[in-house]
Amino acid sequence: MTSTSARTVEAIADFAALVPRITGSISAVSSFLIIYLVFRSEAKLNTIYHRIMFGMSVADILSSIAMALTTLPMPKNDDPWWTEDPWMNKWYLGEAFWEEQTKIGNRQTCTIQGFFFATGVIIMFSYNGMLFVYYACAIALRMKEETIRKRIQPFIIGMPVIQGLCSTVPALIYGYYNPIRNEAWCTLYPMGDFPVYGKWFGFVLGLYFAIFFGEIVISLALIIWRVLQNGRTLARRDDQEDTPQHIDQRVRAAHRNSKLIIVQSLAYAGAFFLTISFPFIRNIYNKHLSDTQIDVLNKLMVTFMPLQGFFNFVIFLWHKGTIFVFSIGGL
Amino acid sequence: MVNPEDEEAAEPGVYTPTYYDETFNYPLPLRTNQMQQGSSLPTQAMFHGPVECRYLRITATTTRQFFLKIPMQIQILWAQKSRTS
Repeated sequence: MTSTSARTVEAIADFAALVPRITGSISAVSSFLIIYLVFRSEAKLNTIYHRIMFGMSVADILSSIAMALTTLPMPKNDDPWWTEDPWMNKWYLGEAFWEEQTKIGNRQTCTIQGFFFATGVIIMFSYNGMLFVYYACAIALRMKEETIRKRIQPFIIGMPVIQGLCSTVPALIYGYYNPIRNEAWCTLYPMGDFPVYGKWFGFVLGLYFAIFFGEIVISLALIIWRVLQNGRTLARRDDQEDTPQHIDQRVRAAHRNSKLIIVQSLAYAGAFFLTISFPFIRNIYNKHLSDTQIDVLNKLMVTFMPLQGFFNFVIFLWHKGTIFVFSIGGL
Repeated sequence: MVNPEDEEAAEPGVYTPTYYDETFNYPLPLRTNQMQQGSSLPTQAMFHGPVECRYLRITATTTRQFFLKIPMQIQILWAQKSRTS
């Protein structure tokens, strides 16, 4: 490859193949640390929050490791898979993108990488939505942990796993995980033909997004409504000086905790949106973007998308630290 | 399988895509607003990104060019088979 454009493409491929190895590894280690801290804590997996964080972390480890491996699980250059479609061979491997990158896998390793990536991402954002549902039940609806555990926990813990596996296992069975030009890891579809159930899968994925946004909007609305109501109650108690002090402190602590949880939930959702926004913008508005803008979005995507676990770890630590500070202040 | 870009194998004018890039020497995909058959917006947004459709130039006048959309590999194979038979 000697031309300028070919060298540019090679530089893009180098960046896309290298950076996720660093960011993906950071994310996987961060998620392992969350699991470690959960099991080191006094509550271990006895609280629903810890169970959700455990699920999120496991899902993140799957997707982060898949992303961190980048081109390694892709088939080698001489694998017959690349020549099944000569046009695709040139475009996806050829001089265009991944030919110069290290590849030591085969079709099966690529499929496994794509499966873990897709499953991890779907389970991750589904658990993110379930965190909102849990907080809505605990704060807005004032359900006790024991009640949530009995009535809602199977849904909160089980649904993300079902959602993730139901949507990605068919592609695993029929082999629709392939290398693609935009990402340095194998993922759903391209290369040759598309699955016959593609439209159905798109509908299901769209439904997941709708459920996710619905969970966030409804839960946040309920939580904010409860916080405002508690704030008004506190204001009234400030006027009534005969309120017993221990009740007053308990209400104030609950109010403070609710506000903390709003910030924490938004931080988890914000971290998810940060990681997912760059591929979304690039993939949806591709036709309206210049090559430079697409290049910038590509770089942002391969940098931030594998970092979800790291952001989760920072928020998890911040939440635990803030609770610790509150508990000291309350003594 | 016959390589469409193999000039000896292909009849002149049948497999001559307009968009031969001088650097890469193979037909580049055209950017269009069309969704690749079989996919959907949520899947495109989350996973594979836009998949450019392939076009084959079938003829051209002085002012216009006419293209045939080739969304799937199977159609190329069918065209090759019909040509060689």
